[in-house]
Amino acid sequence: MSEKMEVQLAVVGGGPAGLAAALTASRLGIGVLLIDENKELGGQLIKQTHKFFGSHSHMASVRGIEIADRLKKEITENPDITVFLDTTAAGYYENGELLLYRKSPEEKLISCFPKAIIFATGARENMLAFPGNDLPGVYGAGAVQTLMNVYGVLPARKILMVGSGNIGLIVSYQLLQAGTEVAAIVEILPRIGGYIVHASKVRRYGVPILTRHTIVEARGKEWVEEAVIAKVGEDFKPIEGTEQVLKVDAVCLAVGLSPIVELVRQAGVYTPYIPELGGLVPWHDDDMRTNLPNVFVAGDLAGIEEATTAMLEGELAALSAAEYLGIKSEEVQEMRKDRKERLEELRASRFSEKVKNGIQKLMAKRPG
Amino acid sequence: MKLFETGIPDRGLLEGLAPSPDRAKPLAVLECFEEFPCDPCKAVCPTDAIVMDRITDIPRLIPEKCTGCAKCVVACPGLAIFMVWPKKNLVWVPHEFVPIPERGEIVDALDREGNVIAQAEVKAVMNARKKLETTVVCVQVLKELLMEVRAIRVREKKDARD
Repeated sequence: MSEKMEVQLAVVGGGPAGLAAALTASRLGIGVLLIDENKELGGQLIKQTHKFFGSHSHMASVRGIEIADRLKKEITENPDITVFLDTTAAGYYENGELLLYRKSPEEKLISCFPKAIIFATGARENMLAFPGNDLPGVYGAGAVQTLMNVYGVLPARKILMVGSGNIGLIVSYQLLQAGTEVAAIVEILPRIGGYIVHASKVRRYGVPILTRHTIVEARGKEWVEEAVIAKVGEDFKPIEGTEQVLKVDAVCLAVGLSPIVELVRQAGVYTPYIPELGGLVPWHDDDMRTNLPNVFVAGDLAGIEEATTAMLEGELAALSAAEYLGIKSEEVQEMRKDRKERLEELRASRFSEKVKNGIQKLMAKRPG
Repeated sequence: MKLFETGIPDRGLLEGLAPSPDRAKPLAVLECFEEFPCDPCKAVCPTDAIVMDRITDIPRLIPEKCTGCAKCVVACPGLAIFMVWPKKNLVWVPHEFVPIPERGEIVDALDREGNVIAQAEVKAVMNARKKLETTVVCVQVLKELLMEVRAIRVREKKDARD
């Protein structure tokens, strides 16, 4: 038998978007239930040891782990926010029931009936197909970060990084800091994907960044012992004869993320395929409203971006949820305007071209 | 530009960044060559020596206004700001690795590609004990290496793992 529970607003996911959403909603007087399947709040923020970019007035130059600590403290001290950790949101049904599976402190099922719900379920890492990708020692970048930065375990002695987006570059730097040698970073495109300052930072500790290169194979008896890389042609296919064998004991994949859409799909949110935003994404407007009046989305789920934009989206989703719940004040309108302006500012560089194109495509797919 | 393929700044990009040889104070060297939204360097500068009109602009330094306080070196999330003082043959680099070297210690000095190009004496260490702040290490090198040294590595004493 499951226990019943009613809340004004449920926020699914305690990463940057969910934390920002919960805080903003509670400030407007809304009772919030915040759910996360991990034992700690913060999502990916708790692994981000680097200082964030962005505007100085909004936590740039602060490390992700510090941002997580600040938000967590505010949430824990807030009596209007109930936090369920170690809890899986297992399903969302037509009758408005959000089924929760709590694993601790006591194992139980809870039928939660929120009046409004914000999904901030984040993203999962993409895999790459190559022979040997099932060998122990082939990791996703998230796993490498979890091992190093959450559990204090060195994932490898010498590693090959695949992908030069910001995650690949940042995790390479963190690996160097932890004492792992990074044999190389390979990037299939002709240009480094992430911020050049991150690239220069790993390069000055001697890590070669090889554009127009890819991994061809991981080899080893019981675990990774070497990785084969090769140059690629204009068709992105490896050029025969350009193979190099690197002696490494691990391969780290940082080849993109895909939104975790299962729950929103179950809820009935329309999820068109927008590659620029990471694949299937919940349809939403620029106020983070979906096609369902009581369902809102934020963060990587709404399109792969980064933590600063995720927090702003979380706040916008909370404002829309507040409006849905009957809170219509000038304050809400002003906050909305401010958050949108900040989002626009953050998306003003060439790095956001893809995201902006994706958002345009998404808008064009407005249902009904 | 090679920078976008390798992470190593092209020589041309570095032109005009070096301080004049007789400068009375250290000068910040901003090796930030790409437009993206980021402004902490400008925000922390106490003398408004760093100019940006929009948050996505590439920051520009007004050497006459720079006092060599190193606040921007610490604040830059990209670790892309250094400080150079030709008069004393000093270069300041951000350092986010353990161990943090001691004053007087000899460390490896690395160029932008990670080559060890000198053995340098540590003359000062900023923020050595602030856990979350970026440490800045000041080393003395030959004059011709002031615009080449961009990182340091503490020499391994004994690796307990091996």
